[in-house]
Amino acid sequence: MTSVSEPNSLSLLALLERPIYRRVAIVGVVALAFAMGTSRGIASGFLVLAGAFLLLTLGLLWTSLESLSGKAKLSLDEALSLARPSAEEEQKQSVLRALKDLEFERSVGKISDEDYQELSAHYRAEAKRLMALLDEHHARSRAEVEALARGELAGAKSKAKVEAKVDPVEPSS
Amino acid sequence: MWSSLQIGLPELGTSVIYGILLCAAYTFAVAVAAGRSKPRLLQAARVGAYATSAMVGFAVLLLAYAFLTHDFRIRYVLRYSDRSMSTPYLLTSLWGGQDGSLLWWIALLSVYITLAIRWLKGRYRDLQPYVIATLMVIVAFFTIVLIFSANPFATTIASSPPDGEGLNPLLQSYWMIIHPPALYTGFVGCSVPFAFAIAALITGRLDNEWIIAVRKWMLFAFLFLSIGNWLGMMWAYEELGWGGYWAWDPVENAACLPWFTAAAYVHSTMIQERRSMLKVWNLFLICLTFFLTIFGTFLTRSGLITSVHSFAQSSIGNYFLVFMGLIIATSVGLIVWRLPELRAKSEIEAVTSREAMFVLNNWALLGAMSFIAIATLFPKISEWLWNENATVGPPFFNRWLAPIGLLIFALMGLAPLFGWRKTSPELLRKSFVWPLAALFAGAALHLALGKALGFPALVENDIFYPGAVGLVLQKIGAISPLLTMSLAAFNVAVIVQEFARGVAARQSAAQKRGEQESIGQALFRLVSKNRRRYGGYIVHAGIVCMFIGFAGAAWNVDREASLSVGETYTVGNYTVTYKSARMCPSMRPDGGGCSVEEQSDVSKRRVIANLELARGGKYVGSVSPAQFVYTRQQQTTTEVSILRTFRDDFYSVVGRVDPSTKQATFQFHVKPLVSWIWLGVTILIFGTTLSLWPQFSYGRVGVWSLVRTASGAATGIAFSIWLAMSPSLAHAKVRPRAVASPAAVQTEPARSSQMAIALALGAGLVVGVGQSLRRRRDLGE
Repeated sequence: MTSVSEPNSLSLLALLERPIYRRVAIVGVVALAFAMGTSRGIASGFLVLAGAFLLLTLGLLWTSLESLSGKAKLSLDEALSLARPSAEEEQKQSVLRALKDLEFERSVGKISDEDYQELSAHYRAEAKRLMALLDEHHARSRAEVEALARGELAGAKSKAKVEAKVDPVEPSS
Repeated sequence: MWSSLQIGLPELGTSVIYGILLCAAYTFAVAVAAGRSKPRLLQAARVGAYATSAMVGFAVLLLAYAFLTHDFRIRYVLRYSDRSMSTPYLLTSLWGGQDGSLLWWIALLSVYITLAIRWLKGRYRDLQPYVIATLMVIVAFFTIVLIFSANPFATTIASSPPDGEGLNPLLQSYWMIIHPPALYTGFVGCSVPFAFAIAALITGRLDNEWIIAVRKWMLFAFLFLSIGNWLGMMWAYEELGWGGYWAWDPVENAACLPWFTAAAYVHSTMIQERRSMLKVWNLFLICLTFFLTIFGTFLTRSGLITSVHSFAQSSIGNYFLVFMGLIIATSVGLIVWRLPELRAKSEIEAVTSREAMFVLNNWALLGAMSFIAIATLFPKISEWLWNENATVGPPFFNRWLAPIGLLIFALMGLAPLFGWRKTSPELLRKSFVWPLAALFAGAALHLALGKALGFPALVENDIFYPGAVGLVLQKIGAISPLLTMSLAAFNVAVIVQEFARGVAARQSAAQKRGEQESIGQALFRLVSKNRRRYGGYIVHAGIVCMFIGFAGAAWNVDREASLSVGETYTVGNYTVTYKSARMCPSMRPDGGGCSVEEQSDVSKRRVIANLELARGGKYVGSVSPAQFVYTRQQQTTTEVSILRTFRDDFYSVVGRVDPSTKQATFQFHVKPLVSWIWLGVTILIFGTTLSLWPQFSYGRVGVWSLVRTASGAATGIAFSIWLAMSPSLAHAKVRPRAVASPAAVQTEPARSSQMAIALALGAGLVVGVGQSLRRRRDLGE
């Protein structure tokens, strides 16, 4: 099963995904390149940038290999990005955009009322179908999550009981 | 440390190229595995793609370092730079030759890959693995070409010479700094939609929504194809000195082919969005556009067709042939495999529908593209099939493309007048009244006043072919100015009508809500809430201006003359007076009228002629055409000088100048309405950018993001204006007082550019602050 870590993972990607670290890294490298460029010639500035790219390449490759081998934990953000959105969600967005566009066409008199009614009904039916599918999917996922949570809670309770029996002086929190 | 790096730079660079291939292959393998529902592998593939891009960046920076340190052990550095070149031109050399330009191609692709993968986060999960895999195949292909045929880090066989051969003088122009990267950005941008198409075909995810999302990527590529071609036209016009902007050279043609198919796709994707039709056609257009970018690169680099743009002949053509074969086989194979799922859910119900117009427009665009492609390749086809040498010159293209272009121009105006599915007679009548009135009024005005204004509606035309076809083409050529101007009026009326209808609809909706919207407010809100649609209409307005500019070619006046100092000559409605000539650097103690810059630049000798221009007896400006003789390369370049107005350009070229008598030969061209082309492309760029501009959600976007965006836009505009207004000796000078000293002449553009930069920055700041205030208001702060 894919394990998920808190966002304080130390992988290079996790660090660089934090805007503050990313900005500090970029500003630092550019400042160093500028300082070298002005003091030792523009070529030195380019060399500093090349060095930064080399380090970035090695760091990213290392992160990728760690991900591949399963050693690196996914950050919550990464895990969420892999889990969403479903095809139905994307289709729903597309249908809603089409409906909005249709309304505009009607307002500028580009479409007859008859065609508007027909197309609008078609898009609304499609949106309803997709929403129903999404609800069904969400309900299934919710049930799965609830079962997992119940299992985790039950496990935690039984573990707490065992620990309390072993060490009655320092009860686990 | 620096010296030890110097020792191994070529070897390090070559190793990095191998590293890119390995990295791309690794990422490809992981991405394909991730396609089999292994999310953790997808994360590894995404990071692997980032790593590949970073490694490409490393390679480019290494090559830049080699140029800056004049490492002439590297063959590419030796051939395309020398110690006298300034830093900007040394960096320009990165894409000045075959090997470096291929690396540059991969570098731009890497930027696209980085952006695409970042954009894909949280989107199109099913497609992601195959998008990454496809992009990695493209990287791998170009890297293989670099390794086996065009390694930019390859060393010279002999020992390192003290100096390099230098960049071709024709390429030492600011157009060279911006034209190739802009065109490559357009070319390379077509890779992302192609990767999506392949991913969709492999996964069977053939719904409408991804193809609509990909439209933005294609639009971005289209934007840069437009900018690249425009800059190429400007470069040809200002640097090559033959008096034109488009010579139908094979490489120019290859550069515009994907523009046609990208334009077709941008329109046809709307039909898929609205009617779930043309799925196969859209996929075909995406694949064809990408294929044409590779085909264009093949034409430029294989030496198959003779062209002024060609790189040195090499064996890389074979690699490109194999890759083109692979693209065709994969695209066609996958489309055929998925054909049952790609069937349309509806069909065209009436000819009087927008989708029918779009289909016709698509066919016309594809027809133009096919015609140009076949005509470009015709000399080779003739050689292969009939063993006959044939040449296809500009007159052939101009004659045949006039009717095709006019058809596209007419369809561009017609399509917005129709509604989807079918248009009722009532709506048709309502839509057509004003545009048709404008069409006939335009035609009548042109016929009545054209000749008096110097733009006759009908022009004389030689017959190009014997027989009926030649006669038809001759007649169309003769009335093409009239048709173009009438259709321009028609198109302008359509665009104005569309904006007017939108504004009226907004005002009426506001009134129903009990609010008041002024025309300005309604227009601003209309455009800002429907950027894609109204950005498109603005693009159409740009194309109208371009067509007006193209029509101007019908009234060109071309003359050649040999003049002595003080002599006058009449060209069209201009009277030219040859005032003086100077040669720089001058040996005379007073400098011979040369500026400090002209005196100190020893890399070339300049012969500059000063001409004064009058129209109707009234002074209108002066021009200073020149010839530069580059001492190192022993190459002569003509530096044209142009006096621009919206009515016409006075274009001058100086040929031979007798050093003792100063008698000189000149070419003069009066080129009506050329400035309308540049204006049109600028409007087109603005419209496309507006279409691409993302919708802000003020709740989600911070104030600083808005200020940053505005500052970025302002900087971009300022940079463009600065480039356009940079002092250049060959440019025309309108004010007579400034001509006395070239040094003085250069102060004016410099001041103008400073003002332009200040204005653009000010505008950016105002936009940023305005947006911030608006956000605060929207958030109720």
